[in-house]
Amino acid sequence: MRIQIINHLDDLAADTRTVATTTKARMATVVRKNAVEANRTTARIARVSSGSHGKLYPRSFSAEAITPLWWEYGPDADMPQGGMSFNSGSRNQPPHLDIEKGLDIQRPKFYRDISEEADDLFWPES
Amino acid sequence: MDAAALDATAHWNAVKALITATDVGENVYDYGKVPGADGNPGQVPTYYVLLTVERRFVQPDRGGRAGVTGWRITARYVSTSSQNARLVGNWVTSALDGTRVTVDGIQGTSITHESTNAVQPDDGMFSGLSQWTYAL
Repeated sequence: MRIQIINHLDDLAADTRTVATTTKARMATVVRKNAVEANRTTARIARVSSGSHGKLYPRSFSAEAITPLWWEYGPDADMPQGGMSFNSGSRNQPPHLDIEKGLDIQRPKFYRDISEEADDLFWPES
Repeated sequence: MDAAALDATAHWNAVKALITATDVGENVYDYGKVPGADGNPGQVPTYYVLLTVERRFVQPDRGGRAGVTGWRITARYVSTSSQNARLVGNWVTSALDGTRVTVDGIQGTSITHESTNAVQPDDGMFSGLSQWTYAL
């Protein structure tokens, strides 16, 4: 079987117009989804690592947009136990590294989502 | 990859050996094992390094296999002054940055710096934390 795909300059021009006008909004959706997921995953990891001593710590996690393409997530120091040094520890307490562990899980998903979204701009799923 | 290459203690010992080869000497400990602290006999050293090495998540390939194992090192460098803590941090960095560990006859990838927290007061002493990753 042979598959032949023919594109014309008109198609490319149309794609380019669409890419120029929609990319930012579409990528903002990807960033928001991944930030929220990463925050949820990290809070789950923190729930295990902080134990009964840091019962409120995982509840201090939140995700918020700085700009549509820039999100921050993690423990909020203004929330109960949110300012505790669980993540990096001290000389009396090993670092929990919840943020890094959450990022290990989320990072490949984020890269895949970005890649799929970029791909979809030119080859939309019908 | 056999079990010996997955042994966290073997990884810890291999990384410790890199650090003890510098001016840090034998002052590399697990958390809770520092002399003079946590009820341990002896005197708290004027400088030391707290080392952790743990396995990290690696995304499996499409077949569900992880071809390599990922590892994360943390080193907390502690001393009686901020300047000395930074000096110990430099010794650790010189020992780890870009070098490789060998565990169970398998050589790891270059140890790559991940992040560093600046030296700050820490319960009567000063300490900073640096992290690295590598794969085996």
